[in-house]
Amino acid sequence: MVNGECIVTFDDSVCMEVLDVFGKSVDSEGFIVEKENMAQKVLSEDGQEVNIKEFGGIKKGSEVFIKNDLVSLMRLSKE
Amino acid sequence: MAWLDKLKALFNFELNAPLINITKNSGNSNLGKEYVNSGEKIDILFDNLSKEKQEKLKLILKEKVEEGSKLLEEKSFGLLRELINFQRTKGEDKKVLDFFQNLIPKEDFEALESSLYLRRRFQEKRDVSKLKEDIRTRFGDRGKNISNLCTAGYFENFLMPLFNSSKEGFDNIYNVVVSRSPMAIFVHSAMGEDQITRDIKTGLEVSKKYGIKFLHIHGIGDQNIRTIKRCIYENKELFNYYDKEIFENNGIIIVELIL
Repeated sequence: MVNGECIVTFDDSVCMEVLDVFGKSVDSEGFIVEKENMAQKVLSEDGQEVNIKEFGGIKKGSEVFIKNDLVSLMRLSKE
Repeated sequence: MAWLDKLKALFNFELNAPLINITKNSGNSNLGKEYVNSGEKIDILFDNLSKEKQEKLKLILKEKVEEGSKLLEEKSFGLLRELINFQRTKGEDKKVLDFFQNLIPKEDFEALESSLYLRRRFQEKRDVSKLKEDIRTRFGDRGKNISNLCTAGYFENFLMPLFNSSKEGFDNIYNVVVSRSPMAIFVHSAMGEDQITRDIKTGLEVSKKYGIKFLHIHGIGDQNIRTIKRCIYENKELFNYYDKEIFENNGIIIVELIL
């Protein structure tokens, strides 16, 4: 548990399955996109496109994508 | 947490590990197993589940996020856990952050905070290359400079005393320091002696212009130390013009020129 929350994680091997749960896929350049509209890229909380290599997770109703870089996770650590 | 009850019911396991991880990788030794409990975590082996269970698991994960919980990639969670601990145990780093919080631009402050964590990892002799790259990717060369200056202690040992002695001096110099790092050259493996020499000459010029009384050349690792020493040897005339001190210990070299 962290901060009272039960922690569930996923590793790289099931990234695509996790994205599928939330109606997302990956385009030819590796950016996470809406499955129903592959031209629409998802955005992180600060408005950045998210490549599958940067995919750190999801929060809040499936529309907020977390990037796995130090700065993004530092911001998350304060929530 | 309704989703957690459903998860426990789906696999009929007691939650006696702090972490549940979803993975495809099962390995031959786990054939037929739906999950593996190591005590520290429970790995749910996705490919070993029936299609029906896979679909139920996906719905549970969706419900978890919709209820307000996060769903994190494993390595990201590992870093997040360390950062939460960093937030709780800042110690002396908190003094630095409190000092600069309302003094420097928001992005610089973020770069500084990330750099303080990076410095802690560096001092623990852990790999920091990805963290450094993350700061540079987000904040560019300015972020890279802040990261280097922070790791070498310039925020505490130069910028803080500077502000305390002269706010005007700080206001005049801060932006030059973080955008160009004139008084501190950080040698890395891709730098040759020619570039170091160019950077030194530029550093000397800018430092003099802004009244900075020293120039430091930093290097970590045998290769960078050798490069710096070759540079000093091949530019004897330039280096002999200034009072010079060389500090070398534990694979770190700092050459100080007094201007």
